[in-house]
Amino acid sequence: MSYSETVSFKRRLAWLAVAAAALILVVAWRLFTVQVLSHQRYLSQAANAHSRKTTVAASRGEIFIRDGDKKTPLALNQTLKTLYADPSQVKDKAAAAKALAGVTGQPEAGYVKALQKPGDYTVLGRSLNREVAERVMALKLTGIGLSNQPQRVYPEGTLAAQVLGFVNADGQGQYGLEGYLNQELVGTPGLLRAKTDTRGNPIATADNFIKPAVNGTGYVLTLDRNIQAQAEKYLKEGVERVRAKSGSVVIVDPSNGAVKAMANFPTYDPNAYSQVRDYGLFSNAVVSDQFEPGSGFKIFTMAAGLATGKVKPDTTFEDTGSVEVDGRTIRNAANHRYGRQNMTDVIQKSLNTGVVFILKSLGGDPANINLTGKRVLHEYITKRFGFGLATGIEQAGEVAGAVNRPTNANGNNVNYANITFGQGVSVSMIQMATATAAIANGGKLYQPHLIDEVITPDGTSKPVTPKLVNGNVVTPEVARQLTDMMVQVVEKGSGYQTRIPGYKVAGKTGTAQIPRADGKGYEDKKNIGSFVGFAPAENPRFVMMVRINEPQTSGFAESTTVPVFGDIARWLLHYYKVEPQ
Amino acid sequence: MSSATYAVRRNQNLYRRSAQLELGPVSVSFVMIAIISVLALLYLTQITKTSVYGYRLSELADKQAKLTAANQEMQVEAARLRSIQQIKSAPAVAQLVPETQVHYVR
Repeated sequence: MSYSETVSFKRRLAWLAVAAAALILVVAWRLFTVQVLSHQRYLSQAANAHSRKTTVAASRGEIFIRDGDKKTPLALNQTLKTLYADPSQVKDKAAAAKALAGVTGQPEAGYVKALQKPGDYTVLGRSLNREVAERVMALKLTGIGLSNQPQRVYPEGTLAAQVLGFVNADGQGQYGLEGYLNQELVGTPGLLRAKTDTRGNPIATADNFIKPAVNGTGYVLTLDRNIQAQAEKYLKEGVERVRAKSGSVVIVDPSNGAVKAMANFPTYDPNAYSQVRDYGLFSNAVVSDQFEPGSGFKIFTMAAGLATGKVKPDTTFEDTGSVEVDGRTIRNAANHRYGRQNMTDVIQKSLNTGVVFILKSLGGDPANINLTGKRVLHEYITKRFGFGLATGIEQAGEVAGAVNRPTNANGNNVNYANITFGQGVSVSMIQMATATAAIANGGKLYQPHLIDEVITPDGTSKPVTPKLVNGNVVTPEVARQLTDMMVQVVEKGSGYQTRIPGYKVAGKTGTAQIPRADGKGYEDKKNIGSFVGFAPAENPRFVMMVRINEPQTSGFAESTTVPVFGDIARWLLHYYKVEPQ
Repeated sequence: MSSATYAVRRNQNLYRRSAQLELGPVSVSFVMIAIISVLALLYLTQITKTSVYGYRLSELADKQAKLTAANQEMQVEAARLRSIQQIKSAPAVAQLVPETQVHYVR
């Protein structure tokens, strides 16, 4: 090799070395970026390729209703299927549509239209049952698939709809029990993290991780299916009979506060909640609607008078048909004027003047209303009977109502005079029924409740103990006196249509005006009729309140609500097998 | 003592050499390869068995899910058939008459 050849060889060797070094540097840089800079990204890609994280859904707690001594389902779960397609994967759309229509019974044209949509996902159908889903799977159509669709099912349809509420498309409970108990009902989802094969199927390995799902809590309600159904039937008939806007019924066991029926009309089917256009139908008016109770409230004014000893059943006053309060004239309904009347007459004839007399007596001055009298009345209706406070019943959207404090500007003498006969105060039906139950049972105020048993996720049942809120609202003697007065309402007064041969029924009617939306006075020719009572008077098995809103027929509560109360009470006494006296 | 006995004693090997197993490097390699192969085979068998159990488990879980869905469906159907609305629409119920007077027999 000559000198020049040697130099050339060495030069080429040097270039080769440089090229090799450059190549090594490039490879090293690439390795550095992959191994160091993009370490996490590739690590997660690799993890995703051979492992899978899946959320394990918890089963929503089921709800049952009493049926005599047994229980029957009111809210269940069902896994239905959603039929979907990736239109880009479906080669022969017409053939696929025809095949699908053949097994689902749906129109072929609808499937053709859906399959011609652009994009890679379109829903072809929802809520397919297992049988149809299996037939679809058997078709083995490319680009057509099925996914699980958990669904809440209410097998009793409209029964107790507003008490139940519903579960929306996101699995969240709305309104009623479903809304109020959503956290407890929904449970805790589990987690599955597992190594998978090339098809994504989990493989059993030691490092798989499973956190099991905890199913939701179930509930057995205090509602009785038969009572609920009958209450709904008679309420519907009553509302339609007087062409009213709406109506509600609540029936409570006075011995423990258990709600036996709670119904509203019109109602809806929670299985088809999405078809409801009037969202007001979702609310349970028994707990979420506050209203002026009217004369039904007089029994609580009378309770305060009797309990404080300021009046007795035979205490008399002079009814002149009206009474002046701070320049305002308060009159009896229909301007009736009865002359000398006792306290039983006040309830039986529903005298506004009589209950204003009691308010004055509470303050120690039968001629005037004073702060002491207002304070005593306020204490009785709020702290003892529970008005102005939510009862705590297991329902979403419960209202507390409102009672003005006697020391507030709004709680003036005129307001308190109105409160004595149920105006200028707002209450809910559940408050009225609960407070009346305290009279029916001799003076014990129980928290109204809808849950009888709690079914824990492991399947064991725990009974719910009734909560006694106040064991001495009034004395048993005062409760008996009030009961006797309420019996007179049915025997001789406005509640005569609830008279049932062989049984003593106690009750009180109320016809309240509806305040105008602008706050200036009351609506003309619109009223709310109510009747609250219990039977048998001497040993009550139930307390019931019926309310009819804005009847189109003329007349007071005795022609709108009392017949509904009478129909249900008659049926209930037979259902409970209460022997006539 | 008989002459035969003496004869045995005479031929007795009084010095015993212990048996020695000596393996060369090639033999050791082969043995090691064999042991490793057997162990690898055992490992693979166990892994395969575990995977098979995994698939079996998946199949059973699928089957359980299907049975649960079927059970739910039947429960719902049974509840619907027993519902008040269904009972009211039954032909036999349509022929019932409302009670007008109830007598209690003591």
